[in-house]
Amino acid sequence: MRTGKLAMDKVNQILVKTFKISSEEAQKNLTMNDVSRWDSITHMDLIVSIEDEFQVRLSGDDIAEMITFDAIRATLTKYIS
Amino acid sequence: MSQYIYNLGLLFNEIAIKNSQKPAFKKLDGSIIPYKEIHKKSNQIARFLITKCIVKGNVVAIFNDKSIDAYSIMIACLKLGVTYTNLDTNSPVDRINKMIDISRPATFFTNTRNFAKLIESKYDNTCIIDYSTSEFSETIASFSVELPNETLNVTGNLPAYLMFTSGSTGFPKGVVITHANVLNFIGWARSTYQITEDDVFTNINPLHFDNSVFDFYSSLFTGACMIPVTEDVTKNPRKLFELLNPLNPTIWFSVPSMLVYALKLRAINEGDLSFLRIVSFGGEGFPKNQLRNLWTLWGSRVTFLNVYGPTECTCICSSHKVTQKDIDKDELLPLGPMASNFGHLIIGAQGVSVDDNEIGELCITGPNVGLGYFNNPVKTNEVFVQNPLILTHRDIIYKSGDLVRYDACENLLYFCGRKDNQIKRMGYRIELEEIENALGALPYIEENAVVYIKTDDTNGRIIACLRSGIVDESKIISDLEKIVPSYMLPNEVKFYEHLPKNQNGKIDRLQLKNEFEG
Repeated sequence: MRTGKLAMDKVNQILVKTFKISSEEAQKNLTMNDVSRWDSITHMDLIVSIEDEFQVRLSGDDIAEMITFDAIRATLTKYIS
Repeated sequence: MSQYIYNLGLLFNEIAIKNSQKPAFKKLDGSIIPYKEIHKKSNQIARFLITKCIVKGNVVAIFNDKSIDAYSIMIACLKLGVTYTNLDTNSPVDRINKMIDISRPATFFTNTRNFAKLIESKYDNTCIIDYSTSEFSETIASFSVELPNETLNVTGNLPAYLMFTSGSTGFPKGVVITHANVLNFIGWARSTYQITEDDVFTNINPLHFDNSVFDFYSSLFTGACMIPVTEDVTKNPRKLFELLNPLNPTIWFSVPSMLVYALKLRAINEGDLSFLRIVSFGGEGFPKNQLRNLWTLWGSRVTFLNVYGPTECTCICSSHKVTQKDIDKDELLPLGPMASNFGHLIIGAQGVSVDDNEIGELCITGPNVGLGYFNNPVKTNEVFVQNPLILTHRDIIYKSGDLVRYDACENLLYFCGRKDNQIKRMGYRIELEEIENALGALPYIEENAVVYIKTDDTNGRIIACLRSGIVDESKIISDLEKIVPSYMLPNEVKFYEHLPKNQNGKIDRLQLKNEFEG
């Protein structure tokens, strides 16, 4: 189980790969409405990538909250800490 | 004696008078809009359009935000024999310009939010009408609420709407569907879904997307009621179900992807939508593992209906009621039997009908076959052709490009693939050539090919293979985003010094596909 910076770097890489954004943008707190490629397809890809990478199963409630980059990082911290 | 109903304006008039006090819309905030209000408003908008010299045969474009005004504009157009077309507000300006060039709208309705996007387009700014302003409401309110006489002059062969779909030349194609096509479709829907005035439909599908034809016409033109659902809500399926539950929808129609999305995000519970009678899906295959999950949740109390139909044939041509036997099998669901008022041929490589259970191209004939592609006789003539088996009179078939087989014992059609490079993503039709054309328009792309690699029966990855002066993927994607909608963007970009060629000197797509499949 990865924690701290290493895990967050991995999350940022997933954000870059999923939304085709720069690593600088991935570090900001962008929302679903800020990222043009954040639609239902990429959202699903994002959740699956996170679950695969961190070997976690996110709850429906948590997934529903994951609509900003900061919320994604906060939720994941809860699972891996 | 009942009135002779020969166009959609007259049908809506009859339905609205009969159901005057009943809800036409249930909104997600709980408010209810009765038929009489939509009827009055659409009559007023129709009369407003007449003063703008917009008449039978003209086209009106709409950036449709699913507000009551926007739906009323659609109905107003139908009452005048004006053809409406709902355009995708998420499309890049470049693509919207292409759709404007093709449809040449006499006016363009938008809300304030999307006004700026329209200003960026080539459309004449003086012909834009913002339907979300108080000024528009006040103007409309000054007109008579009576049905205009012009409705009587709308014949069934007039186009009701244009629905744009992907085109292989890089230009979208505007499918022309008539009043008569839709009247037949409504009759089919009413019977197949056993629709009553107590039914409540969801309208999850965006109005620029073909599936919305079912939502709009099967509800508002039968006396049932509709729940408009906007894109910001569908993005968050948990919220979607929370908002839908108290409104008690009875009929759901969406692409399977929408349901898969909700299932994967664990947003659907067994007790959700407890009044639902029918969950209907189409536009693409439903992955079996996810279908089984939905069946476990709802299968004991809800009818599952898999439907099929190209945009060119008015949304739906065939339907299949899912059984436990279908769930147990691993193969994709059958498309069903063709609707009873439809005919079909399955044409093999030799241009003649194939035997039962042999694979060929599905060609559709009957009263749902549209008039072709707007302003595009070349493409129209390629796929709307004379039935090769009929030599005595005119019988137009639509060559769907879908490869199917027909099991005569079961009376079922099965989907087997495509004969061209069209793929489906979230139910959207995508011609890979449209992406290639868009890439080719970028000044630094020297050569490109786009291939689709299936990851399972229903999903896949779009891979752009490029010889490019720039090797920055995010730059290329962001430039491409200005030309094609986001659902067409490649999942991956691969760079090459030279793309492989076949004996004819053309890019060898097969070799590229083998490279990724291997």
